[in-house]
Amino acid sequence: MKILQSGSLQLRLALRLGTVFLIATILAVALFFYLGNRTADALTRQDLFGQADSLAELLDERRPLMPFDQLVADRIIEANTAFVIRDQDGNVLEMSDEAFDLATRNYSASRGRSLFFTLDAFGAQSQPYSGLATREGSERGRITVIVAEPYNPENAILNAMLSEFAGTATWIIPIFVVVTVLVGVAAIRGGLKPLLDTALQAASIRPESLSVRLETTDLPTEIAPMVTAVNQALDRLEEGFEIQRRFTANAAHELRTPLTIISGAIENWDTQTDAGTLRQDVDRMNRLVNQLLQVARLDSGVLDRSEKFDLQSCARDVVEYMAPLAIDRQRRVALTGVVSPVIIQGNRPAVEDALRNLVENALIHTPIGTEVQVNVTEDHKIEVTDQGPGIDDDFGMYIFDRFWRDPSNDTPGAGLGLAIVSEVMKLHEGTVDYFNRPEGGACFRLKFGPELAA
Amino acid sequence: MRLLVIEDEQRIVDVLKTGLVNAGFIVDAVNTTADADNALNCISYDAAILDLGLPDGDGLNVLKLARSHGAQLPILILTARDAIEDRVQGLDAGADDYLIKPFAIKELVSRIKALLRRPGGALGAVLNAGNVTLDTIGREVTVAGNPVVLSRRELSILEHMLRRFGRVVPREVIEEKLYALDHEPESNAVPVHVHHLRRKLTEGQATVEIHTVRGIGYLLAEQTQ
Repeated sequence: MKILQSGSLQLRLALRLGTVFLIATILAVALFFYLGNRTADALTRQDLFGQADSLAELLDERRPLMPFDQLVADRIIEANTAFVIRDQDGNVLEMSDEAFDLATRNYSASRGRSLFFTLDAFGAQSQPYSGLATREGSERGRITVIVAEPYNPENAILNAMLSEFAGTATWIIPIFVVVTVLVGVAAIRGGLKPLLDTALQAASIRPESLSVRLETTDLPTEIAPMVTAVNQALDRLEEGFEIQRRFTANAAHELRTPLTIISGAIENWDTQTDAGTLRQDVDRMNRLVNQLLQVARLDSGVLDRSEKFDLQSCARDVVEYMAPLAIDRQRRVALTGVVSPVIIQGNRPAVEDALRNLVENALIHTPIGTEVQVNVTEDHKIEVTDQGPGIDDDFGMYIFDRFWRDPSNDTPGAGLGLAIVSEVMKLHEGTVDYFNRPEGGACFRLKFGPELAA
Repeated sequence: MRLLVIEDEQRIVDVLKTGLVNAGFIVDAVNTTADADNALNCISYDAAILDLGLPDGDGLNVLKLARSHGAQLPILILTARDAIEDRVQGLDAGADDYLIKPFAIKELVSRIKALLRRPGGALGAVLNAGNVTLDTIGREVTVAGNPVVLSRRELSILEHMLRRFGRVVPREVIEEKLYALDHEPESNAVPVHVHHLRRKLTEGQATVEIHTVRGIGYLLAEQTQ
């Protein structure tokens, strides 16, 4: 069984259950003791009242009373009972022994109210006595009868039983509590299992698997409405993603078809004077549309990042793809660094987009005849180095913002390239940074997190 | 050389036709999968350009049917869908190359020519780029109409670059070609041969030049001025 985590519902319920059980048990035992003691006291008192009544009655019949032994033989009093009877003035009418009279001189009963007392010792007696002082009416007027007997042996048995029980209870109760808590935890765990399963299911939902819904069949009725609400939220979320996805796909098609037609038509002119500039405009539009679609795809959050792929071959593909364009612009691209595979996990087309944007940027911002290097390192990094003017330090903090453009020059571009790079890297839990090389030119560095290394 | 364009968007067909006709091809166009199946069945085209999204079905089915009938012609697919699965599916189904819309006509023409320059392709016997011609059967090279003498290795490298004109030829691929000729190629054999080849092309005033793509290989392209 897994150790209960602090703060978990299971632990809280188990603690509460244990506490409640402990308190209830202690209260029950205390009540039991209280009632047991009361019963023992009541028995003693009944006994004492009986003897006092008998003595008072007997006093009306004869005086002086018969000898002590006779009283005992007639079962008026118990053999070890001590008594004293006084009149209203405190004069002793009858008594069992003087020591008792002496010991009880201070005890008196008021009208209608009897007094119970305990005597630790008197005269030669060393054992404790429990006694009663009561007023009785008699032919001689009001008399006070005080009787006492040693602590009742029968009641002592009862007390012994109680204390024995207490001794047992002190070690049985903790075991009971532990067992109850364990049973409780097992029960809670069993009861919460569907909830845990649901949580696991919910945790596995990603933008790529939005069609998954949480199971509601086995859930407790208290939880089911919450899970249903989550499912409904997922419905709406999926709908939103679906709209976004459809937009991306539709926009791709709708924008690309006319662009293909326009760029094709302009290419076919060939001899027209303004074809050259128009072609540049269309190229720019093509690039912008591609970038907008990349941004839309990144925003829609539907990128599957589970693929394992080789960064080196990814960089190689991009360099191969960019080489003819670079040559067209009288620049060069080169691939350097490791030649062995550098495997990471992620979305290869997105990483290719990012890298292509970096190389495109470098080719735009560097002088004719220079080289753009793509360098792959063993520790999951790709560096794109150019021989251009470098990045103005004042702009460093803005260059990764969407639609930001260097105000000091009028190079074409929508300011999306580096934003795409930065977002692709964020999605891969990696980073992009740049520095100006001491020997001139900028270097952009894509760092993929080691946790993405497969 | 006769090409079949399978594309439902009439304006794109027009643009493609103009571009391809300008490049010297004879072009037929159809706009449904049914017509495409018929056309491929009846006429022996040298290559086909296939759009994947057609009104009466998926272009991939045209590709699969043609290949199942044993058609060998190179087929290049066009798609607006740039999801990697689409490309993989297309290539798996027997496509030879693909282009994503929007594309440049120049790029399309050079890809088609490259496909046709494959051994056995319509342009496979005599390879052309700029003013350079290579007769793969006679093993003769001319630059600006004048014969140029190349070694066997240089000729082999040039042939390969002409077949992939405008695209990067990885150095390893060239090395493999040389292995077939030399039993023990030297480590810097490729750069040396390319250097000689480059010099001979320049001396003959060729309008194409060999570019080095450091770290990957070489690329033959028209001269930029």
